[in-house]
Formats: sequence, C-alpha cells, structure tokens
Amino acid sequence: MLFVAACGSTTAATGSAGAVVSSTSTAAAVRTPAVFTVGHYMFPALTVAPGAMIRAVDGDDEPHTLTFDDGSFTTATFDKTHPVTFAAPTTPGAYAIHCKVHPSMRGTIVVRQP
Amino acid sequence: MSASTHRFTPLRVAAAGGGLVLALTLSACGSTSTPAAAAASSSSSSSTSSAMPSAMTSAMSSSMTMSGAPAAATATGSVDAASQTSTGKTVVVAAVDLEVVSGGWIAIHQDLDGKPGPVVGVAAVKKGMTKDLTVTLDKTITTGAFWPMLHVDDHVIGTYEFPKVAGADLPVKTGTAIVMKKITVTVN
Repeated sequence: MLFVAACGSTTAATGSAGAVVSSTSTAAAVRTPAVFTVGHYMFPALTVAPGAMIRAVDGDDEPHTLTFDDGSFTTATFDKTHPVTFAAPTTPGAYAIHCKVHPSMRGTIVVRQP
Repeated sequence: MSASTHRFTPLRVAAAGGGLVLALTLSACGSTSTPAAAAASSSSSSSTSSAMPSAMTSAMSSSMTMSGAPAAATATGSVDAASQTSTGKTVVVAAVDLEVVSGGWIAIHQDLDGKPGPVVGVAAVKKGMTKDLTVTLDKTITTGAFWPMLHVDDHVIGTYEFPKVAGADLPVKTGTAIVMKKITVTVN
C-alpha cells in the first residue's frame, strides 16, 4: 500500500498497476481526489473512503472507462488528455469494475470507513 | 487538459466488514479471439516512425523483435479506410501498410464517446501493403462510427491477445498517435 501524508491527513497517492491507492481521511478525500491511474491496460487497486472523489487518469494509449459490473455507474471514456472525476459510493463494500473498451480489464474498488 | 465529473448512486452494494481493509486483486484477463480472416501481402512502402510506447510491461521479453526491441515500438504503418455501406457483418479497410515487424492486426473498434471503444472484429495482416482487407466481425453491427486500428502481432503469433496478455499485440503508433482512422459504416 502507498500512503502519502499531507497536512496531517492521509490522502491519495498515484498508483501504478498493482499498487494500492488509499484515501483514509474523508475530509481530505473530498478536497483531494484519489488518483486512479490506468497503466499497461490494467486497473490499479484502489481503496477509498465512502463518497471520496476519484480522479481516473489514463496512463496508456487507448481510452478506457471505469464501469461498475453491477451496472450502477460508468464514467465516460477517459484518455490521456481527458481524465474524469467521480464520487465513490457512500456505502462500504467491494465494487467490481471493468472497462467497456477493454472488457478483459477488471478490478475492484474497495470503499471502507477510514 | 480537461476533466468531467460524474456522480452516481449505487444500486447494489457488496457487503464489506466495517473497518477492515480488504485485499484487492487486479488483473487484465478475459477473452482472446482468433480471427478467421487473414490478409495477403504484397509490396511494401515506407511509413512514419513510431515512439517507444508507454506500456512496457513485465511481459515485454515475450514481445521483443529479433533486434531486442519491443515490436510495437519498432513497427511503423498506416491505415486508410473510407466510410462505407455494409451488411453489418464485415468492414473493409482500403489499405494497411505495416513495416518492420512480420505481422499485425487490424482491430475494428466501435466508437464510444467519440473515441475507439470495444473491438467488434479483428483480421490479421502481414508485413507490407494490404489492399481491401475485409474484416469479419464477431457480431453484427448497426450503423455508426468505427475505428480500424493497427496492432502488431507478437507474443503468441496468430492469436490476438491485446490487452489480455500484458504488453502483447500493442497498437502501432506514429509518434504518440495510434495508427487508426475513424469511419462511418452504414448498415443496410
């Protein structure tokens, strides 16, 4: 796991593939989005506080979406020049995700109380 | 750089233990398709060079050319296609030029938000110039925009593995731009 301390709060760290991006301060998470960087056509692991803002960034060449398997939410496509920001679910849980452009890209966003 | 903001209300939530940090498992895995269509090659022509791709992965060693460089990094090429009518089962790519590497793929991406979206069909291409390549689609499409995109064929030759296998069959680029072209296919 990667934790970056900022102003006394644990907020966000840019994740590479396989790394955990964590945001454990709800207040800080609201101010500073957790950065979710797609790299090598893989989703990074992500753990955030309920309702935290998440900024999805494309670190490779083709666009992606971040789409919940249960159909409850999807981002628009994002690419290197057009990241997207969205709010995490407010209910703790493990949310399975995939990319609509590359259905083989799968991952999980974990929402938990700090 | 611009960004858009989205919010959502979850419809269904998987339960998680309060206060516990859950382990996460992330991977790129899924289906692999093997196209039926293979293209003939003829004479070759030069094309623009491409830059080293950002997606250099742990599987890079299996994606090397004989020179030791990743195939997608050394390959050059171009794609030319025109808007067309179709039965919905095929898309014709007027010309594909692939250089440096021995083989590649044309992947037909369905448009999504004005960008290349899901792949609806692939066809193999050989080094050199290929004219009037017919790509047989995996599903019947409806009228819309599509993006023929050029990929290399490395790792397991003859099997389209992108992006299931990390670093395999990556897109060919000219500089930082993927070699592709947007067209409109009218299904009648």
